[in-house]
Amino acid sequence: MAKGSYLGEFEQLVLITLVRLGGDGYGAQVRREIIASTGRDVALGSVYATLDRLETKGYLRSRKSEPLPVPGGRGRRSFVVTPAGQRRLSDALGLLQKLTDHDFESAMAALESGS
Amino acid sequence: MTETQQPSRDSDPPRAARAALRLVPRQWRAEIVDALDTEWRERHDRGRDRRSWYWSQVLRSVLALLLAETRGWWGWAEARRALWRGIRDWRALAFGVVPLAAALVATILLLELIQGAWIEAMPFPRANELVAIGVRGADGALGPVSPQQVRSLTATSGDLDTVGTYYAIWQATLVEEQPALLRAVGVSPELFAVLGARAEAGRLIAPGDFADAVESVIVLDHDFWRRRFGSDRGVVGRTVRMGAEGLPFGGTITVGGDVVRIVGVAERGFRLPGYQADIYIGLNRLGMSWRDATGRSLQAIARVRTDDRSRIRELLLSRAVEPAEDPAEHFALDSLGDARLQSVRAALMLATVAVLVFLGLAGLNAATLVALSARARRRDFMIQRTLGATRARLRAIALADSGVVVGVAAAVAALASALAATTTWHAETAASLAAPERGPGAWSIALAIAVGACFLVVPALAVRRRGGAGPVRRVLVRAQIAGAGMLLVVALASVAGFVRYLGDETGVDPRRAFGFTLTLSRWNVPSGDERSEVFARLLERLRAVPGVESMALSSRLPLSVDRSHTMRFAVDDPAVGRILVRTSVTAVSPEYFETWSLRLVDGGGFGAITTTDDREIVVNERFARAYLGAGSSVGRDLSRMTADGQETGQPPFRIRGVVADVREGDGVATPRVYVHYSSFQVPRLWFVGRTEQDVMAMRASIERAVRSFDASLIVNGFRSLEDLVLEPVRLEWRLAHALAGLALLTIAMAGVGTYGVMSEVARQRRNEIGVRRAVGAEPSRILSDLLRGELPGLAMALVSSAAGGWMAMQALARVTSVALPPSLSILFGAQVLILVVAGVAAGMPYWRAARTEPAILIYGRR
Repeated sequence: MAKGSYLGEFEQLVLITLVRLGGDGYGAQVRREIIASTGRDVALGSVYATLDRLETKGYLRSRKSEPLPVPGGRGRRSFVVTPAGQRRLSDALGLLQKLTDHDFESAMAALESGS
Repeated sequence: MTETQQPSRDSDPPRAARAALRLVPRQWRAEIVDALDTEWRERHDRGRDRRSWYWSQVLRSVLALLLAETRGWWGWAEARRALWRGIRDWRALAFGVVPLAAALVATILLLELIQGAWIEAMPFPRANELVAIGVRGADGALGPVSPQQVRSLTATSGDLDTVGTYYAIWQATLVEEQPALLRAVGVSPELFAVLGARAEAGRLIAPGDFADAVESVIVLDHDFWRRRFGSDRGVVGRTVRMGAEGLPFGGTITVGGDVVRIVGVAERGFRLPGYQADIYIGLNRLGMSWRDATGRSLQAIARVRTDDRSRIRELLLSRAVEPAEDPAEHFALDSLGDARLQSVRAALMLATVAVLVFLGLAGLNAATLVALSARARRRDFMIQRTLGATRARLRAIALADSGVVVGVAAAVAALASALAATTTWHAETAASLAAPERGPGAWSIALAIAVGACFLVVPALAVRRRGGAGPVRRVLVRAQIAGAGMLLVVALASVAGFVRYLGDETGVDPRRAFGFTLTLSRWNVPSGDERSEVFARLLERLRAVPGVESMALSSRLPLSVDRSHTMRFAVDDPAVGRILVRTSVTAVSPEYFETWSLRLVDGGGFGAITTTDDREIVVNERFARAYLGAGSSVGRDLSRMTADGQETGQPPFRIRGVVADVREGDGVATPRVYVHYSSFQVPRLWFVGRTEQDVMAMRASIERAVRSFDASLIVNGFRSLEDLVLEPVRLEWRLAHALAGLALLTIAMAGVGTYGVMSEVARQRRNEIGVRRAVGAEPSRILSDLLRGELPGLAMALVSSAAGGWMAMQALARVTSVALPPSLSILFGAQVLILVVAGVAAGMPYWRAARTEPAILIYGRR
């Protein structure tokens, strides 16, 4: 895997959240979902910066939605997980899985007991 | 009513936070605003919590998005790489940084002085309406006016508002636990109002303070208040004892004399044009009826009674106001800023030009080195170009290299200029220019760096597709040589002028001689015989100080420009009969001539004269030649006359001797009469002496002796005569030092730059040199051939340098009297020096290459 293609922790969080939203969502929605599911207070700017970075890496694709049906309503930028994004997320989670399935729990327990 | 139904003060998000959201990149801005607004409305917390949440969201979002936006910029990565390159090749970096930093330091300090002396010289509201009024002298400068003239002017001039006047005293004393000398300014009732000045604490001097039987009041200068009283506002209302000596009005404020009340502190930055005062006091406290005095001693400032700019300009252009009462008196007007800068403008302009030339050369030097660095990385550039790097990227790399040089030089310069601003040299230079003494400001640092950086953009923009800096580097080197030669010519003319000035016969022996004054006023030493007696006792006490060879009194020091004391005599001229002569006078004690080793040409000096009615004088050669004709002057009588040509009724003075001329501050000797100090009483007398020891080491012994005589006396202005020789040209002397330093640095820079460029040229021609060596050419022949190729460029630089140098010498001669006039020998000397430096710097790389073995030159190895 090339060095620049690793997913950072927050990038993984954003990608997983988009998947949970059905593979399609916009910035404020992603932020709300992260706060609701993890309790972690994240800034809107951080979410948008990460969405933008993921799009640059080719893991997301964005499109502008129709303006909202309210006076002065504006269109939002909606993000869709691309197949490459799905693969990268899957790889990252698989790697994590691989690292944690071999006696990981017993190793953690040993650490906790101090032995 | 529930909380949600109440009209809330924070129904809208904080306006400042909304404004901060403008920093968010445009593509995200609207969406973030919408999302935050929605959440703002939906939140249940109110007041501070909700606002804090909003602010936190805004700041974190702005930061995150700005970081994300700039993370990919090439600038960061290139700057990091350039910094590493600089650290690895620190010698090359130092060659670029050191001269540029030196130039930036000079520029920063100069900009501060210019700002202080020029731009911020007028800390008054509507300063463009202020004018200085005076009687224009022969030198074009505005001279002081008399109180009577001010009254006449105020009464008759329609365009001028009230005229404010002031008079500077340099020897007021503050008598507390430790007596201290102060710079005081006597001000008229109207002055502060005319200037629109305000008080930092308390109040300023007002017309009410000039009424009879009102206590004396003073206002402290802001800087003095900070230095002496630690900005303590409690000082307002306190009383202090003041003293002063040397006042032309007689001096009612004396050591141990008046008690004055501090009524206020002038606002920060308040400064009278040309004077840095410690205290301000009413002019009426300086002595008798100053309002009616006819002597010209006051500086006058008025506000033009119009806010019409064209009318003000018209007044200044006409530069004259003619009072109806006295058409013979022509007052002249200058804008206050112009009047203030009159004495220092030339020096300031010269310094500005010199520093700008130096900055330009340092920039060129750094540019040459950056260009060379780019040239040395040609292979790297070619690879990058092959791999698809655009020309813009190559320029970016070169710019990053320049940025590192500028950045490091700027950091070094900011630190060095802050340190330099604390030195005595800087403080004295600031005082010479009447500029405030302070450290470098942000704007001057930024401006100097911006100017310096401009030069570094040149090589970066000159990066070609193939890499390197093309012919730019040769042009840069030639410009450096030409500039260095020009600066060297100016420095040599200036220094040679001083060598001549210092080496000229002064008429006195300045070695181990010194002078000082005492705060001895007419209040405790009134006049007449009693005064003479006190001076005689003081002289006796000081002569007893170990190490003192001789000690005398004088109303002026021999090499100063002071010609304030004059007398009028009737002289019989064989051609035109009796004429009235006005001549400079020095009041001296009998030992004066011996103390200064003044040569007696005819007759003798004063004897032991102790009474005020003694009528003997000594004249100088110039006086004798001008007014007394051939033959001995000794024994001739001179009748003293009044200003309107009438006899005084006193017995005539008899000439007792003729002494050699002594050069005065402006380089000429005027006709002068020496009279016994008891016969011609002046407010201030200098104690002058000669010692067997080091002059400055005598100071402590002298001070002890003076204190033992009277503990309230302060020794003031103690200096050696050698220092005094430089006194009238102190600013020029500093300038000559600075020019010489800049010139030496510039030559070094030109040498380094030339060497760097020629090293690169020699490296490119290694193959050619190697082949010629291999076929049997002598190294000396190769060297001369190679140097011949460089001659046209070098000649062009030298011709430019000679032409620029000649013009610079002409300009210098106009600006300062001390510098030598344009001289071919100086021009030739400078060209030879530059030729040697440039020749060595250019020849050295070729010489080394020509002596290297051919195999190494061709194949890079033996």
